[in-house]
This record gives sequence, C-alpha cells and structure tokens, in this order.
Amino acid sequence: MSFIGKSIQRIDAVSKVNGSAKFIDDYYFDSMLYARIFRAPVPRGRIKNLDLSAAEKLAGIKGIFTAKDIPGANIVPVVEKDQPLLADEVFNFAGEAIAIVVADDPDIAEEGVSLIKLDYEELPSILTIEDSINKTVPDICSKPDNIFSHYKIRKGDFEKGFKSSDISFEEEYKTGYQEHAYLETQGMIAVPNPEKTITVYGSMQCPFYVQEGVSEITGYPLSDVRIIHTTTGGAFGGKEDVPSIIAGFASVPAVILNKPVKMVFDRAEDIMTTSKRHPAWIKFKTGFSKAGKLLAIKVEFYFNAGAYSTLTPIVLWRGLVHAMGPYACDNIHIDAYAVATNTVPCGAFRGFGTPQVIFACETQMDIAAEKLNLSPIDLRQINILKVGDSTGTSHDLDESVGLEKSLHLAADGIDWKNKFIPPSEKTGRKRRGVGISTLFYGVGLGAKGGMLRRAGAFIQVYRDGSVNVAVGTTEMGQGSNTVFAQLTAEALGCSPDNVTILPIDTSRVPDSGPTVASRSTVMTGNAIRNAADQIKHYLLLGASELSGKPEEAIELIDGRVLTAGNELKISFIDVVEHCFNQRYHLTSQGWFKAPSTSWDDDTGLGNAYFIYSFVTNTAEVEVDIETGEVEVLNLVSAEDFGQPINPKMAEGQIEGGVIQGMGYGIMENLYSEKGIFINPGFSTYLIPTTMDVPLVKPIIVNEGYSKGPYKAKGLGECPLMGVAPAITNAIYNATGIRVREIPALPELIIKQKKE
Amino acid sequence: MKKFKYIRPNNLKDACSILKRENDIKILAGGTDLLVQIKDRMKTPENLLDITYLSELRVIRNNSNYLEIGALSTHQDIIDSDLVSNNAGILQQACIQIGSPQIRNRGTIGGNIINASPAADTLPPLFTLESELILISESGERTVKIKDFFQGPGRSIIEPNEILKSIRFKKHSNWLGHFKKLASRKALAISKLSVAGLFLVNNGTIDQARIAFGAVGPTILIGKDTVALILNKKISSISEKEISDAVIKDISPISDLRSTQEYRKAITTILVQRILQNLMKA
Repeated sequence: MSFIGKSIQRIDAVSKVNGSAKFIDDYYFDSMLYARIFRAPVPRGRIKNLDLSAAEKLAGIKGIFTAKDIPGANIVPVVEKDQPLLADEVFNFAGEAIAIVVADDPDIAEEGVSLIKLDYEELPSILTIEDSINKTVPDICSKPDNIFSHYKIRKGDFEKGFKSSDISFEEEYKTGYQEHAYLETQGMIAVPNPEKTITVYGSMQCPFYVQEGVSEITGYPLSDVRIIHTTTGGAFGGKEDVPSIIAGFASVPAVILNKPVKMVFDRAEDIMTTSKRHPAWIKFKTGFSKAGKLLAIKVEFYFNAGAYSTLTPIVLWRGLVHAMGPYACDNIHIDAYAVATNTVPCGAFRGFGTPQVIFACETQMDIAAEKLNLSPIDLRQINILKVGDSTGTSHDLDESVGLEKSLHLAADGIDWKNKFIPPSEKTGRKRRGVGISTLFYGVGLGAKGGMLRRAGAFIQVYRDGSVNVAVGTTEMGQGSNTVFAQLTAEALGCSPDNVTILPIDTSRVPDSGPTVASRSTVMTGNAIRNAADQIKHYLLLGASELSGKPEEAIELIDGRVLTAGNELKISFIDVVEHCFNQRYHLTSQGWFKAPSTSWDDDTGLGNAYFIYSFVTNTAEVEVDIETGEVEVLNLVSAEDFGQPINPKMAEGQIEGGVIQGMGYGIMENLYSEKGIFINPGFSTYLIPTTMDVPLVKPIIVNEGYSKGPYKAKGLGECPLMGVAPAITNAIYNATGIRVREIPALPELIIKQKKE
Repeated sequence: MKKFKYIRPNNLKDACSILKRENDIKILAGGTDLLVQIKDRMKTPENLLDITYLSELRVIRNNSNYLEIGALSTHQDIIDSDLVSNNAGILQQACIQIGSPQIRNRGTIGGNIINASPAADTLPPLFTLESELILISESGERTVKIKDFFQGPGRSIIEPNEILKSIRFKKHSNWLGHFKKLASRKALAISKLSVAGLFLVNNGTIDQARIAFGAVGPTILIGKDTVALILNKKISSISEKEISDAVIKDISPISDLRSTQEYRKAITTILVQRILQNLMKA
C-alpha cells in the first residue's frame, strides 16, 4: 500500500496556520443582517406578556420574531420532537430562546434584546438529578415521572452471581458537566434565494441534520434547503444537534425578511445555552471470585438530561452498552435512566455517555484489585475481552480485539513494573503514583442508529487527472479530509496531491448520516472505495488498451502504471486521457451500508455495534499531599483502532483527546447558581493550557478489521474516554485517597483526605 | 459592546484636564481587564481615555532611598528590571506568575492596583513593601499608603479625576521575600489564595516581618496576628498549631468560583509554614 499508514501532511495545514481558512464569521453577504437572541431569565416560567415596543422603535432594528412568526413547525428535530426553536407560552430552562432580534449590526441587535420586557410567572423547577428522581416537581417534561429514557441489560442471574462471589462491594460515583470549549463558537448564515429556496452556511458536524431542521422551521421541502459546510473550528459533539438551532435562528428572519442573516454566538452565550456532557450519578456493584474472575455486575445510573431530550436517548443507550466495561461477565443487571431537569439540555460530547460509566467502572476495578490483592494489570488480564469472548451485551467477538496488547504496551509505556508501589509505602510532601484504565468503544451508530447507518461519496476524475471527491461527513479539525484524500489516492492509484475534497454540500451527496460516533473513516472511507472501484474498472481497462497488457496484470500506484512490478511508459494521466477519448464514465456515486447489528430492548442483549475499538490508558501523577494539587507527569494511551490511515494525525488525535480527558478528570468545572452557569468564559471555566500538558505517549495498536477500509476502525472519541479514571487511580496509588467524584479538584482531595 | 468615545491625550497634563472635563470616563492602561469588561457589557463607559502612550508613566527609577515604579510599567518590565530585582525581588516573584506572556507584556502594575481585585498578585508584595501610591489630578499630586487605598473588591479611594502616576517604596535589599500562590492551573489562572512575606532574619531569629494575604478577604489582608506570633522568635520554635491559629485570625475567606472557605483556611496556613521553612533554609 502506498498511502495507507503514511503520515502525509494535513491538506488543510497551511490554511490553518497562516490564517487563510475562512470560518463562518469571516463570511459576508450583500445586505446581510445580524441576529441576537432574547432568552428566558429563570429556569422555568409562563410567559404572560412580551413587550417588544421599545426594541422595535430602536433605529436599525429590522424585525423581532417569536414562536408565532415561525413559518414552518416550531420544533428542533432530533430523536423526539419535544424541543421548540422558540419557547411559546412556557420556557423550561434559563437561557431558552424566546425571541430573535434582527438588526443592521450586531450591537444594535444586542441593544434591541436589552429593551425587550418579559412579564412572566415563575414556575417551580427542578435543578438536580436527585430532585428529579424524587419528583419534587412532577411532570416537568414530555414523558412521565420526569424520565426521558430508561434502558436496561438483563443477562444471566446477577443475584446468583453475587452469591457465588467471594467478594462484592458497591460504590457511588458522581461526574460533572463538561463544556466542549471548541475554539470557534456556533455560527450560521442563512441566505434566501430568489427562487424561494434557501442556502445555509456554517460551522457544524451534521449538515443533513441542519437540512432537516431548516426544512421543518421554514416549511420548505428538503430539496429546497441546501446546507454548505464551512471550515469548522472544533466541535467535539457540541456541533452535532445544536447547529440545527443556530440555523433556525438565522433562517426564520432570512425567509421572512428575504435577506441574508448571520447568527454567531458569543462565548458566554455558547457556554450557557448549548449542550454539555451529561452530569451523572452512578451506583456500581461488582462481585469477584477469589482468583479475580468477574462474576456479577449491577449498575444503576442516572444522567441529567436537562429540559429537553435532544440526543439524550442515544447517549444513554451508548452509556448502557459500555457500562460494564471491556470485560467478559455472565451476570449483568443494568438500569440506565435519563432524567429531566430545568437546566440546559445536555447532548453529544466525545465519548457520548461513556466517560461517566468508564470512570465508575474503572475505579471499581482499581478498588477490586486492592481487595483481591492483585495488581490492577493482572485483574484486567484475567477479565478483559479477547477474540472468542462475548461482550456484556453478548456480542461474540471474532476478530480485531487489540485490548490485551494495549494493556501490556500501556503498562510498559509508563514503567508500571517499577512504579506501582502501594500508597502505604509512600512518604513526603509530594507523592507519585501510577494508575490504569481499560475500555472498549463501539464504532459507528450501532443498533439504535436506524436508517442513519449509511454514507455516500461522489468522485469525479477530470481530463487532466485531477480528482474531485464529495463526501457527506465533515472535517471539523480531526483530519478526516486528509484521510479521505489518502483513501481516494490509494483506491484510484493517483497521488493525494491530485485529490480535492470538496466542502460538504447537501445538494451534492446523499444523506450520509451524522459526523459522529468515530464513524467517518469506516463509513465514508468505504463509500469512497465503493465509488473508486467503479472508476478503477475503467482505468484498468484503459491502461490495458494502451499498454496491451492484461487488466489483471496492471497496477495503478501513485500516478504510475505498473505491470509485474515494472513501471510502464504510460502514466495515470495518459490512462485518464485515453478513457476520456473512449468516453468511459470516470464519475461515480459510492454507497456504504453499515455491517449488521442487533438489539433486544427487553434483555439489553445483541451485537450492539459492528466493531469495537480498544484502549488502555496509564497515568503517572505527583500529588502534593498537603494542598491536594495534582500534577500529571505522564500519560500513555495505547489504542487499537485497526489500521491507522495517517499515523501522525492519529497520534495528534490521541494527544488532544488525552488532554481533554485530563481536563475532564481534574480541572473542568461548571458552576451554577439557581440553574444559571456563573463561569461561562475561558478565564473562569478552566481547561488545561500548554503549561499543564504532561508528556503524552501515544501508542498505536493495529488489530485490523476485515470490513474496514484497508482494515481501519474508528478513533475520534477513544482518546478522551478513559483518562479520568487512570488519573484518579494514580492519585489513589500516590496518596491512598480514593476519589469517587470528578473533577477531582484539590478541594475535593483535601476533603476526602480528612474523611 | 456599547460604543464609546476614544480619547488619546498627548501628555499627562492633558490627561488630567480631560479627566476633569469628561464624565463617565474609564482609563485604558493595559486593557487586559477593561477591554474584556467593555466587550461583555460589564462596563459601558461613554468615554475611554487611552494613556498607554504616555511614556513618562513607564519608568522604573532610583529615587534616593526609594524605588519608584511608573504606573504603566508592565509586569514584564518589572520582571526585566535589575533595580526591582536588587531591591524588591518579592514583586518579581509575583509578576512572573501572572497570566501568560501576552498578559505580562500588556498588563500594567497600575492597572493591577486600580482594578482593586483582592486576588491581584502584585498587591500582597506591594503591601509587604509598605508601598505608597502617588495620585495625580489637575489640582496636583497626593501620596496614599497602599494599606489605606482599598475599600473592597473593585473599590478604592481614588477620585474620578485622578490618575495613578507611580508606586514607590523603600529599598529592601537585605530582606528575604517570598510570594506563594495557588491557582487551578499553571498559567492564565487567578489566585485561589496567595501569601507574601518579607523578613529580616538574624541567626534564625525573625527581627522584622511583614505578611500580606491575597484572595482570602474583601481586600488584601495584613497578617497582624501572624507577624506578632513570629516576631523576635526562632523560626524553629514556632509550632504549626500556633501558625494556624494566628493565620485564621488574620484572614476571612469565602467560598466562591475559585475555591472553598475551608480549603482557603487550611492551605493559607500551609503556605505560611512553607515560607517560614524556606526562611530556615536561607
């Protein structure tokens, strides 16, 4: 292979470094207007009167729009259709949008927002998981008992499993919010066209979601709504469903006023009103034999969904499937609940419901290892999934399980043998320790993904040998466009330099589902191969005709034409030219449907995902035992995501994800007062800076997947997910202080030390 | 952002007369706080007086017994100054821990003072140096002791028509200074708590001591009880319990975004202990 496993330079590297990349706020359209949003001031209330008169009189205001002005349906379509674009009669969280103010410039629009007077009756609200479970206020959401979703797993006989266990124990865990902190805030521009169609440009992960959202809001058919993806400055799940809302805010005034409208969020507004990682409360019980075999698992966990269901059902389901960890166990009983509160709706975030349960599960394993007098490595060695094992949901794994390899590589990478010393043997003010976590992760949307589990690609070869590729999954910084160029070049036999990946445009490619779930490389990669194979057929035919050699004997590699390893005098361009002269069709549509999965809602068993990626994280920390300050010294991440397409970029993904996971574990904390976040900025919501970054060692464990493009699986989310428990387990190993809550701030560690 | 009128004076005299003339005016020194506040509509002045170009306010000079630092000296200017290094090293220790390279290059000591944050890192060292602030207005100059300057978070006795011209303090070349702060990350983080201590030590005995605490009260707090405890004592004879009792009397922390009252109490004591331990080593 010539371009698979090659670290070619990112195709967008130069434009990102020299600033020429155009983000949505860099775009301007003639006579464009600017939108700002008037929002609910308290967590729950009934609108009695909305006085727009003062705002409407302000010079420069072009219109103020409320629920009744929406030309189509007042809904944000995600899983359920329970969320309105603009609150009508009642609002259900502080910051919920009530009116769109449009003006000649954003400052005037902002001024207009400040002049709107809302008369409302405050209604009783729920702000915590506990109050929601206890129904301190009944019926705050569209579903009974304040529960949006409940999923379960019933495997074997957990009671019997605990009875036959030599040790069993139960612990409670809590995890907090996490903000995506993408560099580019949410933004869209809606441009109405003369023929009563609309084009929407913006920063997003899922153009086809936005297309559906704008279609619902405007009442236009899907064919008349065109979405064009602009360079996106980070997303991490935060731009999965939310951009449909932003596009709605721009589209409503755009179609009514017949003018382009720009809606770009400021940072505080973005943090306060858009989706977050779900906070969780988890009760986890495990039982083991003396020898360390995992015999029973019982988990009950709750996610704080916020006021509307958005993506919560799917996030919860993924949490359920991964809650028991990457271990073989015959007796599993899990209940997963997503409860409603009058807070900002939570949604997708890198890891999608799993970092919460991984934190609980991996802390549980660490506690068990100590109780069993086994090393955390040995306990995992006994229980981890290997080829031939069955996952917690009874998925028999017959290939591509690199967990055992990753376990030992990650342990060696941190020098576990020499550094794992019990906390009781440590003295002094600054104490060092090591910790570990293991995890598995289903690639793609899984059995609950329904019709979304497909992707398309369109390839056109031009007469000069240059190639255009249109795809349906987005580049958001993760490097997928470079991967797609490599896959195209490999499949066609040209150079990646000749391949242009076009900006995503919903008019060019069929609905390819969302860009989420670490699915792009497998799904779009396979669609590209499917498209390329159709063109390759003609290229080989053409090369055969030109050279007189049989098709089977011809290879196309990096623009060269070879037979039996010898380069012929004709090139890729000659072949293309010949194909054009012969009027062969060098344009094709590719399509890929995900391999099959299965699921039974009653038992919670089935082949939940078509394939899994596997990770082991190890961490070394130094803890100041007096102040509780934690310095992370080393992080190792050994990841099996099949064949890496571009190893250098994969390492970059691992490094970034690991640091984001470190922030989640020990630093990032959203504070709220009366349901309103009070630190909505980067000077108060603290994420790691370069000064906080430890030595990160990415290790690629390549266990190929037969149905992946060139044996690749998915990588995007895995690096983040298990870092927090590797660090908190290392904190325990350093100090003997057990952390059951993240972020593990120094304040918490000192409090825990006293207990 | 609300629109404002931008005014750039030619010299300090002009600046003073503009301040007297215009109402609702804010002074732009480094802008690292003010511009953020204006952008977020937390401050909405009608007028902005840009004094950043008044080089007469960006000097650090010897003035017989005193060191005088112009209010527009940046944190980086102070870090780079040998005069400060030789006579007030404790101030450099604080400046080097402020913000990021960008903020240290842009933010000024005058702005850090006038902003009047109880968590400002230059303030505890300036308290231990017993600094004086020279304020100027059209009607002349006045000198105020730094301990009498602050009234609460964001509040001080400066009049709307006054500009902070410079800060001066006596040279402390033989003194041992230590500044310690705790923050949530290694850069770009506001202090959870900070302690500055300046000492004259003779043979393991503390002859003179000044201690100031940041972020554990509505303004910078002076460590009266702590100083009384340690003065004229052998450092090795002071117990942890005694230090803790004295420190807790000196400070009045609250729980907020950055930390908890309980943690601040416990850790402030630990930082004082660490400073005393450092003195023993010296």
